[in-house]
Amino acid sequence: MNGERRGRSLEEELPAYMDLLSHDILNLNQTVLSSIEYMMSSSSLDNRSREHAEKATSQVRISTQLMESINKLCLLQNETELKTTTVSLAEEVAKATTALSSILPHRGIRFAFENLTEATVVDSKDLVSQSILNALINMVQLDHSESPEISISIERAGDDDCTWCVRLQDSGLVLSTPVDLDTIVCGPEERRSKTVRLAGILLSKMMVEKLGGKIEIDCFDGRGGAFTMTYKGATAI
Amino acid sequence: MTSVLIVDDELFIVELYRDILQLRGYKVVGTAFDGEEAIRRYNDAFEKPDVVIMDHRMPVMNGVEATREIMRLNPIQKIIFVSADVLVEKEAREAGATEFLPKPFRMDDLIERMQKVSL
Repeated sequence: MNGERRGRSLEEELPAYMDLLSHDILNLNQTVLSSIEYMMSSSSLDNRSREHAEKATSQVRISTQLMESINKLCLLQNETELKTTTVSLAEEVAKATTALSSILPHRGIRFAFENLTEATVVDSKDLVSQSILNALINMVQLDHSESPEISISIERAGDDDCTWCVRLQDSGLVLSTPVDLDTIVCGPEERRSKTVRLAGILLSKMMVEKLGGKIEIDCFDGRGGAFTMTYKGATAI
Repeated sequence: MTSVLIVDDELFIVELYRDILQLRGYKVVGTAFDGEEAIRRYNDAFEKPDVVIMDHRMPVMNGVEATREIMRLNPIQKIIFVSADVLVEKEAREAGATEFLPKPFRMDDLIERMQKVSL
């Protein structure tokens, strides 16, 4: 085994580790999900317990989504040239919002689609819809209101058709300070310990950047915030 | 009553599938913890199961190899492949799996697939 390992860096081995880790975690999620389903099949389960069980099921779904995203990014790590396609940004938004509602059915999430302009952007391996979904999951996790309302719009990011952005805005989003994702990731650990839960938005950032885009976070003085993801337009190929 | 053979190397998962499927009226005719054991159980069964639920990553022999061998023994066998490896779907279908379900899944989804393949 040492012979095989010789000369391989942790970076090179990371995709294999992540593959094994995500496989184990997805199996653990299966056991939790099936255990909850088994308990929920009991007719004597009271409403409160049933409610908790449904919320626990959603947590398993979030864990699965995050894990699959990490694994996908690790598998893409060694691909220098992504095989790209073009997709309709509005359709990818629809995919992500449908997935979010099925992951978190008990949150009663409402969407306000404000301006879903027809835009075609560059995609690879579903990274566009996955980046929107991960950001949405994170947004809902940071919103403690009973029924979060997220407004979504598609806007032109520049003066031409080369870049488009999806803006997710939520007045219930709790972000106490401006968030600089680069500083959080690269800065001291102490800083990380003082941040809110950000795994979804970090995964979204990595996916958007893999497609040559960027992500921005706006905080509105404790009265909500917005995530804006910019993607390359199809005309930019 | 639809009969099932469950193949997965995780004991807890096998127990959960078995208990839930039995509660839903399915007959679990056997369980196996790796591909080789699955083939042995399949060969030994006097009446072949209507459906085999097959995992992929298992010791000794993986799910794709076991599926291929079972399909060689009985080309009309229905096999539902369940795996956390989404990348293995194409290979599993080429080996003969009728359906593919990525883990984790809800038992309702598995039962829907079982009904579909049992028609």
